[in-house]
Amino acid sequence: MKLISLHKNYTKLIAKAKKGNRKAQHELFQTFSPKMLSICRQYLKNTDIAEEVMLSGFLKVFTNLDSYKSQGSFEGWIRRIMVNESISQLRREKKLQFNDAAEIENSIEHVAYIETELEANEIQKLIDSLPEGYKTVFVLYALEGYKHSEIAELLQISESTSKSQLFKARKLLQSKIKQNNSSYGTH
Amino acid sequence: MAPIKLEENIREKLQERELQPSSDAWSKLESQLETEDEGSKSKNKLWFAIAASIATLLIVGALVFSPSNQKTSDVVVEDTNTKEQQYNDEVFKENTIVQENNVAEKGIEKEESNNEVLKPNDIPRKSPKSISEEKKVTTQQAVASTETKAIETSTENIKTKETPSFIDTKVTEVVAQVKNSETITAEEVDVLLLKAQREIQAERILNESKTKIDATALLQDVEGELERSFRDKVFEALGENFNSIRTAVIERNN
Repeated sequence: MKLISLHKNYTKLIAKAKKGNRKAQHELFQTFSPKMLSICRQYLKNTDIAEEVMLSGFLKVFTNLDSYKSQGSFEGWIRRIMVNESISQLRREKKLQFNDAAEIENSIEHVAYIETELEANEIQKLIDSLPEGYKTVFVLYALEGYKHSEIAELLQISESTSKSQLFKARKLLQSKIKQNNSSYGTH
Repeated sequence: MAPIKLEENIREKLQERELQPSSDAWSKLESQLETEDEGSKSKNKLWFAIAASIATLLIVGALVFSPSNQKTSDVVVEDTNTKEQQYNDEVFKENTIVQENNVAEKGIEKEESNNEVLKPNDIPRKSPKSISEEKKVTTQQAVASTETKAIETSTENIKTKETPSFIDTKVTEVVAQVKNSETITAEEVDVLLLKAQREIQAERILNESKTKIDATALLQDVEGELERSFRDKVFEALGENFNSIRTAVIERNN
């Protein structure tokens, strides 16, 4: 029931926000900004920069509300804008560098198992520790559900590069988690 | 502890996560939105101005180049021409009246040739109707000293049907004067003719302002005839006696 009423409110709010109603825009911002900041933070280590990127993302959301056709979820639409903004920011910082020379091992479908459940902040730390190229592809693929072809287009790299970056990211993460676990184990 | 898929764990955790933006985040966004609104408004104004000017150009172009409008503009031109004509006519009239006054003052010594020069200017603006009414008054005033006697004159030669009676009256007057005065000279006859002609002209000019008919075109045709017909009629009415009377008078004076 709550979800339904919330959805209805969104439709009304979106319609008002389209006309430039500041109150409606504020309400939408209050509703979605924490999640969107979290998404931006996945790509950007600096929280302040993540917030700036989120704000510029919302500016695009409100100025381009007309292009939102009420098909598909509004949240999904905003998320995509936030992801694009984050990647643009990474590009501006020139941190997106990919080593195409990486070899792709046969164990691409390798599934990693860990023995302990990590908290969000721990996960964020692990992700932050990854090189930008690995991290971006990993977040896009594993967290946002993008396909390699989509990632390749978004980051302007080849699909094979996207796959190799993902593989390396996974491998690195596993080793880091193992390190963490072993360090926990020693306690 | 059951093994947990790394990526599933990460996804769940991070999707649930919410990070509260700083307190001034909204005010920052609001100011950005306002500048954006102003920008779009000014852009809209610019586009509106461009669209308006294009529309104006199109309308003006359509007005200028469309064939229907050429017609209307022609009509306008004709109107102004007509007005100018009317205005010119009025000015002309005034000039003519002035001329006539001058002539009347200088009066009697004028030669026929002078009259002929004057006439073409004056005659064109006759107003055909109501001449007969006003002429009586004018006639009595102008020719107060002369007696009006009915003399038969042939009006067949007069092609202007509008002005016959006035001219007839004049003819009658002149003939009567000539016949009554025994001491008439050729110059006096000319003076009488001139006077009568001027009166006819003045009459027509006076009447013109009351009509709307294009007097110029209509009466220009009559112009030449009036001059002749008046003289012709006078001499015709006098008949052959005129020469003998004139000769006799001259001889007696001598």
